Amino acid sequence: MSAARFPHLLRAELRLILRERLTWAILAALVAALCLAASTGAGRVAAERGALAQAAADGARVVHEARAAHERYGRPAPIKVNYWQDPTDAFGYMTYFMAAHAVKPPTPLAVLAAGQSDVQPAVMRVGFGYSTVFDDTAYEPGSAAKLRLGPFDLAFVLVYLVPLAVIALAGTRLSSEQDRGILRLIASQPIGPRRVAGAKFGAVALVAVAGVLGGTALALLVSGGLGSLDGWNGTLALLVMALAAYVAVWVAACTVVASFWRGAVAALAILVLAWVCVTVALPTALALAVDALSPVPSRIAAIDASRRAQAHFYTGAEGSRITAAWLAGTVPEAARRPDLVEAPEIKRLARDAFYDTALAGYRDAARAHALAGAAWGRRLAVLSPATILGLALETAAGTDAGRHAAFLSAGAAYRRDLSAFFEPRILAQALEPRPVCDGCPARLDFDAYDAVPSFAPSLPRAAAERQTLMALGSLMAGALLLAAVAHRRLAEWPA
Amino acid sequence: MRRIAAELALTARDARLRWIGSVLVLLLLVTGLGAWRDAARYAGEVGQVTAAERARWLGQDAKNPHSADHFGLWVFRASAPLAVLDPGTEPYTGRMVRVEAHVFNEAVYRAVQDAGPLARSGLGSVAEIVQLVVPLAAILLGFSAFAADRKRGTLRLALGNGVPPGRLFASRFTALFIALLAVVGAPLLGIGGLAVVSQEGAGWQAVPRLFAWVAAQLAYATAFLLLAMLVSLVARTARGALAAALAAWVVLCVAAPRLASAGVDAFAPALAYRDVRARIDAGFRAHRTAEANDVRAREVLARYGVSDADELPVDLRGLMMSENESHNFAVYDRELGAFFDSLAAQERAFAWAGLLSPRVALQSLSQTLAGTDFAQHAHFVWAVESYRRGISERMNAEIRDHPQRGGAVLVAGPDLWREIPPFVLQPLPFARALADARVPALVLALWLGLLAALCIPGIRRLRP
Amino acid sequence: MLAIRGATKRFGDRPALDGLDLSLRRGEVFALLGPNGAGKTTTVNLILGFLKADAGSVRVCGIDAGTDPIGARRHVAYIPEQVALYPGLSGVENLRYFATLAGLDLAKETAVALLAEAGLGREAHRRPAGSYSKGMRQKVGIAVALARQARLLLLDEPTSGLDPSAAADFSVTVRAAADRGTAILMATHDLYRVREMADRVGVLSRGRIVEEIAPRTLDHVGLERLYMERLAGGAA
Repeated sequence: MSAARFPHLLRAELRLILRERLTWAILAALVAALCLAASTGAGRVAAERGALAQAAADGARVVHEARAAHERYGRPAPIKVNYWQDPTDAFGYMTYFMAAHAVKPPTPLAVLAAGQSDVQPAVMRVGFGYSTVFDDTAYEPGSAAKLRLGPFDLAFVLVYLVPLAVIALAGTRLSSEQDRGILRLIASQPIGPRRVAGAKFGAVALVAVAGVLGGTALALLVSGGLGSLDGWNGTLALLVMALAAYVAVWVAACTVVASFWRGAVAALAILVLAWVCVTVALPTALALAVDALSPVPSRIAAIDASRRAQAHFYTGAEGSRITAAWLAGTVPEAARRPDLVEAPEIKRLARDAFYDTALAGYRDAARAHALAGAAWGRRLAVLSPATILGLALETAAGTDAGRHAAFLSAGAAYRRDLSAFFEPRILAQALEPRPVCDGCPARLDFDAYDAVPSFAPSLPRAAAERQTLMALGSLMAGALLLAAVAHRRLAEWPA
Repeated sequence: MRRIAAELALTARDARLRWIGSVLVLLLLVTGLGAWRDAARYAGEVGQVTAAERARWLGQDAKNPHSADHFGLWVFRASAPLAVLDPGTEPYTGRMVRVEAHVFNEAVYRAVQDAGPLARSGLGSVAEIVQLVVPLAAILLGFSAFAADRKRGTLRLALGNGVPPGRLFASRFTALFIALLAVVGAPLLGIGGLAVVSQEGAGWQAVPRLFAWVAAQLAYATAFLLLAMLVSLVARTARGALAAALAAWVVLCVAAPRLASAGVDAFAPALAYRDVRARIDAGFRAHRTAEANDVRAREVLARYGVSDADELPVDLRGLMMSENESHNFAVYDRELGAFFDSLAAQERAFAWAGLLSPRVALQSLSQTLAGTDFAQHAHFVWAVESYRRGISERMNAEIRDHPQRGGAVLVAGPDLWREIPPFVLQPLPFARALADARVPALVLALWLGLLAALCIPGIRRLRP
Repeated sequence: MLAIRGATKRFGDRPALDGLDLSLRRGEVFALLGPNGAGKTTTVNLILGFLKADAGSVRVCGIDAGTDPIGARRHVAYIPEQVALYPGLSGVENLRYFATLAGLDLAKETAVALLAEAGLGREAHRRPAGSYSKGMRQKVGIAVALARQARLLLLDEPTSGLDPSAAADFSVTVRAAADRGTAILMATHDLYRVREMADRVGVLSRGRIVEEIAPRTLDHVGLERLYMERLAGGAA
């Protein structure tokens, strides 16, 4: 009698699994969850695109209205126009009209994970109107209950529910046979536990991988949430492999637990507790570790510093002194014009520069924390299969903390670009005010609305590919490690 | 009583209880004490900066009142004492507001923004541990109540010897409930007691809140204990009982809450803040143009029957600022009022969504009782706005009532600054929390009632 | 077919087998009689290679079950006391599944024929095994053994829990297998069926065979008396 051929055995196990009604119930529930998650994701991506379009339309509207006002006030009229109403005044336009936005467009795979998108905005209006202490003041308030519960997105289904589906499919293989007494008959055949376990768990892995990948593909097709994949095919392929590896990790974990030969009750309890540890407890512990490695700088201390700077500027003649010093440093020839020190726009520029200097340390610390937190998050995510896959999905979706930290820095740089664009024009208008015409309400002659720098958004394809590759490597290593443990433990049948 | 004592002795000897109890108590204590330390640090910082802000407001140089209005101040929301147990909406809502002229600023700097993605994994607070882990503990303690006995044959022995199934169920349930009281109720009361005693809790009625809060958590734990005992009554094997109870846990504690979130969003959508802000900007834009300003100025002169601003009995600039602000307030009230109303409606929908999962009902009930719910946040935001309007109105009135001729600028001093009282937030009273808690409490009670009712036929049909 | 020489097995301080010697020839039915804890299950576990002897050897068709358990099991078919089958699969499917584990590719028709040969009524072949009685499950177990053409059949308490008619059926099936040349080792308490089925009986006490009997030389009462005496002697 020959030893059982593995493919033959695998086919028999596949037949066994596919005969079970529970298998189909689990797969159906999983596909339904994936479809629902993909549709909520598609809705979110559509809303994000809508926000981007709204921001662009807002910017275009402002330019259009500024042009119209420029034309209107460029003709003689009896009305008085203040600087905050006058787009011909570069300072007035910069402060009260301009609608410049830093934007974080969704990636083609944005449907996969809501990530940080529900707490970190994808559109930031960059303004100079009112004092802000940090780059990330803007956010969109919404339902806190919704944020607490978290979104029902594909990442949730794939990272949290897929392992539970795998546990439901594979968690009691061998152990339920042991409980029912079937194992004794299996073990008495001329076959070792490794081959039987290999066939049983291999078959579950095939069914689970096919169910998860097929279900996800179906859900993406039905929801229509996938963007144009131009250049992102590699990332998608890596993600598919990472997902398969994630399923393999959980199947391998089920195999390890089966090798304890403790019966189905213990196997189920161990696996569900392992799920809690890997998907909930360990990430929470990692969050604490990130917190310890990159402590959050105090927002309140920064606010206090900003207020100290403000109080300092507005106490006695400090404001005038600071403005004079700034002016002398910026435009040496303005020293001949002491009246400029009290000009509101000059005072504002000087004040903002003073605030920037006073707060530079705090802002740098906040940016450094955002970047360091994201970096530590990336490093520590490797420690849990759930976090590493979650991070890969978020990075591919462009909703990860790392991209947002970079976005905040880019937004701050954009603010500096805008400042660098307007400052010389404001100074020039202050030094040599040139009205559009005599007797017309327009105070000055600024009209470079189209020349205002626009934000250059980026799509982090390389980062997504890197992170997904990292996830794939870690998950494959994890699956192999667990499989090796199971292989080692399954040398003999239990007596 | 003797039967309960016997069951209790059996339960106490169970190694499972020792393991589950130790892990649970350790988790609760570590998380609770961490939250208590953070709360103490935050309260200290808030106290310091609030005093500094008040000193800066009072210490302003003599200046035009409108400049003082722009100078403004920051106000901070103190945490509820029971936020140590359930931070509720606090990490997801801003707690610091810049009070300044013209702008209804958002409450900014949410802890969740700084915390990073991993912190939202689900065990960040005592309340989250109760919502996710305690049901699991209740299931692991309760699933074998009858199923294991059935397998061992001891159930046959007990029933065969005339022990009434109802009494057997009641004594087992009581023993396990007492075990839950010890491993869940006691640590919660301990951490809560520490939070109440060590924090400034004026106006919070923290002690009754604490007892009500702990009772809600125990009711939730009891629901899962009943669930575990129900499947134990019905399932033929311990494996079946555990599998069914765990499946119910996955559905009720893991999947359904997020499904509820998606469902509430679909059926009771809140207004998008972006659209609200766009409408506010549009409301201001038309009012802010030079032409509109000119029309209003002429209208004021006509109202007073004069042709020159210097002839007015009031200061034109002050009056127009005051009227502008009234217009802005109306826009804010209309748009942000509708926005906050839509969020409040969504919160109410979440309370009803508790019908999908007791976890959703508990989340709603728990944060309401802890004083960390959306109503408290909205109360803070509107109280700050009311304070801001008070400052603006007072400053504008000062300008309006002291007309300056020939372009002179009014200068005010510390006497005026002192007229503005410090910002003090009186939390919404506990009675209001109890009123808001009616729906989630009812929903949780329905869950308890349903599970208890389902147990009755199971007890009647109990077979070895 | 089976040769056990001086097999010793201890679990901690407790000896389960103490120098057991036992050999079995082709077509021979050997019954291991003994009370609970005598070492019957340990003997079965040694033959199947689930346990390794601390001393001595266990050989099945010349293959050492301790060092090559899978090789040894190629020649052994085992029918446990409670034959448990996949409840959702029919008898045919269960048989084909277990045959696959043994490396056989069993056609459906062959499986049907084997089940019929094992005595399972045709109407039961396609029913889920969850609805089978213990006797019917045992017949599927026998069909597995038949399919595998095993040279040694191990039966663990084969008649316990069977009604008299099922037990009689089973006896016939076992004897038929022996007549085809299969060596059969059964561990049992059932003196009545032992006398009917076994060619030789070994009384196992405290891990040793304390008496070997040719059962057909005694009537039931004599067999029972001898068994009780030997046990008492072994315990002394």
